[in-house]
Amino acid sequence: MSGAMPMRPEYNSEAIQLRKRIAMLLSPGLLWLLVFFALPMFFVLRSSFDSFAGGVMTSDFTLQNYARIFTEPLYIQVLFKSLLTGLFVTVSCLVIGYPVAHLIARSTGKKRNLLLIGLVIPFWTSLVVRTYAWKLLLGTNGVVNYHLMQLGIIDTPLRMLFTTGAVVVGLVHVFLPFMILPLYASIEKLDASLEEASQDLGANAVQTFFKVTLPLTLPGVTTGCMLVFIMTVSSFLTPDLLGGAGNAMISNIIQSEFFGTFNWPFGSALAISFLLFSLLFVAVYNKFFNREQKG
Amino acid sequence: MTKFDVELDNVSKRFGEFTAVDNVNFKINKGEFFSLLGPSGCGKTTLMRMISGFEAPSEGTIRISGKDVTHDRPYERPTNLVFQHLALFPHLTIAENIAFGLRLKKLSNGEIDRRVDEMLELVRLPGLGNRKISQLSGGQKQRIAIARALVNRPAVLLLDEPLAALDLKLREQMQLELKRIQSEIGTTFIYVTHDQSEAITMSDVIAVVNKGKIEQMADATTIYEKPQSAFVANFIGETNLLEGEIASINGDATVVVVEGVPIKVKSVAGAHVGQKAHVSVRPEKIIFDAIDADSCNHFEAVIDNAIYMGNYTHYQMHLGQGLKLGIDVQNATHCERKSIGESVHIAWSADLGVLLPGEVQ
Repeated sequence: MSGAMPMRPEYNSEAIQLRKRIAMLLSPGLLWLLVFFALPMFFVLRSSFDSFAGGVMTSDFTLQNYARIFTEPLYIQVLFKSLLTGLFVTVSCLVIGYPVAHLIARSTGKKRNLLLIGLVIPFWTSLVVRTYAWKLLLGTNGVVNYHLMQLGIIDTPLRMLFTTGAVVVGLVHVFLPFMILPLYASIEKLDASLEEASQDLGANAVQTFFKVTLPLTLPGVTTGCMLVFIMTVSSFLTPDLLGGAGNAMISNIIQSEFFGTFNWPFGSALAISFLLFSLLFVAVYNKFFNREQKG
Repeated sequence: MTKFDVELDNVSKRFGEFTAVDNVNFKINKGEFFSLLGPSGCGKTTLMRMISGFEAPSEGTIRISGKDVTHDRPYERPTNLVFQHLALFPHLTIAENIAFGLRLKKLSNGEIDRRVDEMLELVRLPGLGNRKISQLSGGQKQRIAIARALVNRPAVLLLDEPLAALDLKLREQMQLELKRIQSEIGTTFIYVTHDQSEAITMSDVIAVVNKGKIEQMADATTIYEKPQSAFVANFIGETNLLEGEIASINGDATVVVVEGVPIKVKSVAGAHVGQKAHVSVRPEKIIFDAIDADSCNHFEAVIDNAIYMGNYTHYQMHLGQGLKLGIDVQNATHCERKSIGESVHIAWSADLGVLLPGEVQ
């Protein structure tokens, strides 16, 4: 609607009323975000231009922190490794999660409720506790090694903890529900007779999946992948507990700058760079998939 | 080669305790328009899903074109189904929808294009191939769903109440359209419906299904004029279903006493005096007249209600102690209509009623 269009006065006042209501309803949330998100982010941004020498932070306006990120190979390597881990975890979650989501969506009544409850039960336990459980399982004297040695399959314990593999397994475990839930929502909306129609027209189960089910549940796939990828790349606890120093991801590096070397300006610069990179990634991803869906 | 396209031998289907289909047998001739007609929950949809392969029978054999397909998967059968809600693929264009089955058969692009165009011609929507499904009207979607199934040249086309969602005018138009398509290509159609007028309009053979069993299988005229059970008489069209006891059987003439009123009806085999029986008389068979002949039922009745229906008037009346009858009279001329409370003479020929011995379950 064009702004130059003349409006009847009563319509106009209705519009103003509506706008007032919207503002009122949004204000608590906006205030919260302003104080606890926008303001701190601004301080981080400001701090990323400060200088740091001999353990002392100085208010400044320098780009040297950013220059360091791109000149020292370590940070690009961590970034690259985090992205690769993200990709691997996302694909694993998709491959494992899709059949589960399909099963839940196509079951009915009590069975479906039980499966859904099973899906959210892990959320009732703290992530720290669940991650420590993986340590017990994967450790040198852990449950897995013990049984493998008892069965005589191996002689010396396998090194499983503090490997990239352990991080990936831990992350898949944590983020799988975030893949399954949007997939479930998408598959549940899909009319089962579309899959039957495909079979009736001569497609076997595999062909039906790739020609009908997957294309029509793509919104769930893109949402799930986006969620899992972003959360994996920015994960902190799992790589910290299961990966150790050699498998640090971006958040671990940022944390060590803030609380290890106390180089807040550089930590801030890492945080800002990573944030920008994530936004760029999301923008590209959205553009690609929006185009896909418009056909 | 058998002359039957579809044969069901002693087919039953149970879901737990519930028997959805109970020992059904039938054979469908090649090129026939066959309808499965029955109320919802009667088992007709289960029958159809077993023929198309989405359900396996608990017992019995299903043969299509002479080949046992009882345990074949849906994609292995020479059948195609037009779904109740059509199930067109929303992510594909019209042409891609129709080509779906052909692509799976790995036909050449030229052949696929040719057959898709041929189908669009058949359903009278030429040149719409590049449209999206969402751009079509209800009737157009119907036609595309039929085209998508028929393009695969199935031995049998199954249709699961595909017209139920259309409004009356469009539905009538599509019924004629379906009949035209069927006679043009000569494929066997199995049409599942709960709408008796739909079945009567289109079918060569109607199987009336009730509680998992086939009550009667015949052409539309026989089903309507000579129902074999009270259920069929009642389900197909309107009827006066009069319940009484057989008082006498004299050659061709049987008398059933209904609420004290003797009703003359043509005899049937297997009936005996003293047996409970129904007489079914269609409301349009009864006329206002005072014929007094041996072969006729003739009564005096009092009109309780007169409902003007446009092309005819429906009269409700009672005779004797309270036997109620309904009569339909065509509003052919400016003839005087009867009014409520009026005493009238009615009559119908004994052979227009149908004697149905035995009690209704």
